[in-house]
Amino acid sequence: MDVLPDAIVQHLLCLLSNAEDVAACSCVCKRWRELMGSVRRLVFPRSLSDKGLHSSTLVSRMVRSTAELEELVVYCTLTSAGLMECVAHAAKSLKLLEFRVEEGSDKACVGKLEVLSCSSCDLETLRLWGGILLHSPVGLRSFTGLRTLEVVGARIRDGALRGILAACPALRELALLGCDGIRSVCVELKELERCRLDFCGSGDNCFVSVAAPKLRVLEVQGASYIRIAEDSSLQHLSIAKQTGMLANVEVGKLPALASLSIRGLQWDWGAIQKMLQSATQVETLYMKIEFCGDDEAFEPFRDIDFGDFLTSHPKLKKLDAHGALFASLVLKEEIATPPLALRLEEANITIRSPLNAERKLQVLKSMISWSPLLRKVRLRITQMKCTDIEADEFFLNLIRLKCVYDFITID
Amino acid sequence: MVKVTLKSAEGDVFEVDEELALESLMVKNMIEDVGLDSAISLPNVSSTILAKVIEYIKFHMDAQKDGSKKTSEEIKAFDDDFVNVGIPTLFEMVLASNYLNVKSLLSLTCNTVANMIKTKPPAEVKEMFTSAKQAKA
Repeated sequence: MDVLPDAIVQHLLCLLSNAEDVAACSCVCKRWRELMGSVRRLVFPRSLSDKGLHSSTLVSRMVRSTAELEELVVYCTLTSAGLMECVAHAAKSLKLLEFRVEEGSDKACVGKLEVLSCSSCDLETLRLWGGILLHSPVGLRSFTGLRTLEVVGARIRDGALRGILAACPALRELALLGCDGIRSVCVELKELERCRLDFCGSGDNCFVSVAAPKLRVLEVQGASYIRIAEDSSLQHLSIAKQTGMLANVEVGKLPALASLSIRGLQWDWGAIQKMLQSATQVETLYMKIEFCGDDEAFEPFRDIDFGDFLTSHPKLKKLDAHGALFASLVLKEEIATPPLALRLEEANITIRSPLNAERKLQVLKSMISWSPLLRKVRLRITQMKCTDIEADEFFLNLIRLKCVYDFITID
Repeated sequence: MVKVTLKSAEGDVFEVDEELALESLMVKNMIEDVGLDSAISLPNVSSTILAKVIEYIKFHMDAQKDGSKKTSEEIKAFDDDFVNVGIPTLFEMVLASNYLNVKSLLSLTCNTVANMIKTKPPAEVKEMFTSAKQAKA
């Protein structure tokens, strides 16, 4: 068994993080069992609970056999008592903890958080799967060192979320993914740099307010009202609302924003306008929204003057415009010369209907002729009926355009 | 291009570009210490393994050069093929890349061994290591 030196066997054992593999290796020989203590990361798969093992005891026993465990991931059942034993043993070295909460009760989940906050662990990353957090935790102490918090697929009420966020003052990264039950969330964190909020099942009135001066990346999915505080250093912003309606966006100037993505089914017209006006410095812009209008009815878009649009986004390098939003671009007046030296390099455009074919062609032509740096244009034509004479003619015109500019591709 | 002469355990001589030889941190240190005049002797590495290590470094150096048309799939295919050898050879490559201190090859070979250990019962892992030892002896 001594064909490989200890240092390499140790390295090999560190590469195995699945607890079952590690456990198997510790049975290989005495020397390996001793080297096992150096394992840095352990992952306990969900299947351990399914095998009828008392997984909680198993987890704490294995964790106790390590000496410098840094990352612990538990997908099988782990009781609060088991969790307490683990964090007590690995308190000095543990940096990352990830576990799944399966108990149906609010108390069990809150209890685990309280256990964690009271332990002497100085966690940097905490990831929770599932769980129900309805009431604001009472016995929660502060996670002073926590940099990353991710909560996936949990049911959370506003008060509980407020309590948890208040306990994590040093967060750099926050992610709430697929979380249910939140109606209003205020993220006010001084150190926060990345924030992803993805709500489902929150109905149509979820409100998100973000005030984080160091925030660089913000992604919001599923909120109806969004407020972003004035002094923002955001570089990347993505707002999506795939069902229901995005009613309002309150946002000041976004001087550092380089990339903006707005997607959804129905956006209030004012919200779209505000986003485009705030993001004057964008280099990458992605727009795919189907309708605007208010709660009552879907409405088509109002016209956006393409000349103005380009002038107000002088740094634009890559433009993605799909469907209705592309159709709303229009040339208000004939401009012989480009508004300014455009930096546009790449454009992806989806055209859905031959309506206003003349106008669409004009927009495309002027975009091409005004952008000296343009290298790549990808046109996607979808949902058009081939039998339509109008569509045929439009398509022919597009092909003609393609023949003149060889960087155009048509799908 | 300056050449470096490497001498394997059997005494076979390999002449390689200096740039390639420097990828081995161990050889790099040797060159810094004793210069390029004499051959660098590697008593822990057999000729077969040394040839393999050189082949590996050469492929990856070419793949990283500007103008290289190698896709990441091709590189992956090369790596997969490269470690698709018997366990004794694989272990020798682990030892050689550790001794020569070639980080990327060490991580490739160790990951391969770790993947072989995964999901195996203890007895089979033991068998794997004993067979490697017997082959070596």
